Amino acid sequence: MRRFILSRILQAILVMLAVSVIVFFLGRLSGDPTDILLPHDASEESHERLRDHLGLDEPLHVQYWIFLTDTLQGDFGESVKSQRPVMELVKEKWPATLELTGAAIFISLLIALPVGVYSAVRRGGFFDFLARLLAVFGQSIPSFWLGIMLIYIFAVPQFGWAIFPTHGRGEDGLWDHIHHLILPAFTMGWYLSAGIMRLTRSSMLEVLDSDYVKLARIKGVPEYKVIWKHGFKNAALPVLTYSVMIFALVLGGTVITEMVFAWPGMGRMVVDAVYARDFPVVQTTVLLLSAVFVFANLLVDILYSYLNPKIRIAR
Amino acid sequence: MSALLDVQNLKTYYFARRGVVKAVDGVSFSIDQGETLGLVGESGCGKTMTCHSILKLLPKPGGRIVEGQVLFEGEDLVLKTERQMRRIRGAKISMILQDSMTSLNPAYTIENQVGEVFAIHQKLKGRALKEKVIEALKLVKIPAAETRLRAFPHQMSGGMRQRVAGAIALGAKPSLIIADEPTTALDVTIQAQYLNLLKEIQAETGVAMMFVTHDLGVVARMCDKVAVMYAGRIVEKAEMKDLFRHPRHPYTIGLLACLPKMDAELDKLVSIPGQPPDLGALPDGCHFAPRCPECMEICKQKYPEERLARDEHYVSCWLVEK
Repeated sequence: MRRFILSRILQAILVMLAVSVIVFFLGRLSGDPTDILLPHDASEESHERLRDHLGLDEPLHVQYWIFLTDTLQGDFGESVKSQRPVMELVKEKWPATLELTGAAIFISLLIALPVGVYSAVRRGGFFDFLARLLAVFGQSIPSFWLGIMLIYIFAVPQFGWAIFPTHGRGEDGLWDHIHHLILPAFTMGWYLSAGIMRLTRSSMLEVLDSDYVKLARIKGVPEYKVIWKHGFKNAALPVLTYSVMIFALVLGGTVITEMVFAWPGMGRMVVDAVYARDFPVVQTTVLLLSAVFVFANLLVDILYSYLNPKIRIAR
Repeated sequence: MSALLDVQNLKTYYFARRGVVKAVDGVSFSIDQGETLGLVGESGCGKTMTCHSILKLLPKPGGRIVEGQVLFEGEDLVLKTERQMRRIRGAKISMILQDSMTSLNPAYTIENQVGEVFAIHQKLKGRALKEKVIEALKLVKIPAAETRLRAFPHQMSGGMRQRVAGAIALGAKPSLIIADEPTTALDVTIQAQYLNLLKEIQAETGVAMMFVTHDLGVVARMCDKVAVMYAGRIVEKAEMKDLFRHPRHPYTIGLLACLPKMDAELDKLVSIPGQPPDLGALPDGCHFAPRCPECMEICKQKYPEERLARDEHYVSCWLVEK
């Protein structure tokens, strides 16, 4: 058990190192930030001076080494554009992204769990067919398109009903918050629910076929209890694992939704930073997001072996 | 006296995409109060489907009782609604499954799983429920029953788990228990213990049992009557001793010949040549004809109806005079 955890931690460190290399050099490929920071007619001399100031005149491997050692010491640098510490920017945007992702996962679970469970119960029936069709739509409709369609239908009076705001994050109290949150959260949640639904369905199918579900029926347990008490509790473990992973994955994948709904979160910040060639911001945010993902994966691996009694027995 | 369970001409088919599987094809037998019937046959001969037909828990979609009656305490279960059946399952008829490793829910404690029977059928709660659970665990002789309440199935041995399965089946004092190969998954030493326990409980409570097995040793030990099943039909049924002494159907004779004997030379195990037929494509005549050492012309053409060989001894075979 301890060897397993250690090897997983080592793997996680290697992955993070690889990510840092990729994000660093890929960023440098996009060009010179001074082209954007300075006016068109700035002299070559002022370009030189700015590059020197930002440390961009050093050779690449030296730059990388500085970046790596600074990061490991907790110094994430300053934004090239706004001159503010990157960590300050992240702290500002982080809650908005967390809120959106949390709401998206919540909505997707709300849709996916009951649909997945009942499509397994009614296997091969009409409901199952519909649910699986829905899953295909869920996974094949691009988020940006769905987001735009939702805005058309629910936020623009000329096309549909103006019952939700088109963009931004609510600021006056809880209801305003939720009001702004619903469309973007649904846009993301829709896509996520497809995967969770499929997993719930297949996990449930397996459990429904088990002897203990059979025994529950033999005992005379009412069907809804057979499904939720005896079935779902056992089917939920892989679904839970998957949802936690998805949560981490989606934290980094809010970019599109945040762009469509002008949501002031991390995703939008990264995109803006990429356009501005604001290297410290891009590097830090991407690193952070991947760290969250890698850490969540690690956590799931370890938790899983603790949660599942059978795995515990096997060891 | 009318029988506790009287199954008449039961036909349960499974309608699959590729055709109809005649899993149970005209089965009749009866069990009296406190009596034990052994249902014997090879894997896939329709034994388990017969059990599930009695409880009306058939694989969905596709499994269906197409004909026949299942009279329990004089009432036909085939006509009962799902809601009525739920009141019978676990309370009047219950079942012990083969492997308690898989038949107990890994996510719940023993107390929860045994208690469920009382909570549903006797609407018990709290203290009274707990006492009933302990009583049920004591009935199946689980040592230190009070301390096992909070245990999970994976924390118990195979023998103990199967006792818990027994407690679940016997808890609500049913009048019939269907035991579907309840000892197959147990060690041989534990098997004997478990069988003795069931016998004791039966003597104590007067519960009738239907023992499904492929093990004739278990039959000899446990049963009053035996029904031998082959390819969806019962080919021979008789009192247990009568069947062992005077088997009439060539399949039964074959089965008995397969039992290793202590006094015989040990260099060879006997078996019945050939394979049981596909239940989706049965031969026209006797189902056993292709494997029968005494097959005659008529056997290949027509299925022999049941005939009385001697007192209470029925055989479906052309060799037996009507």
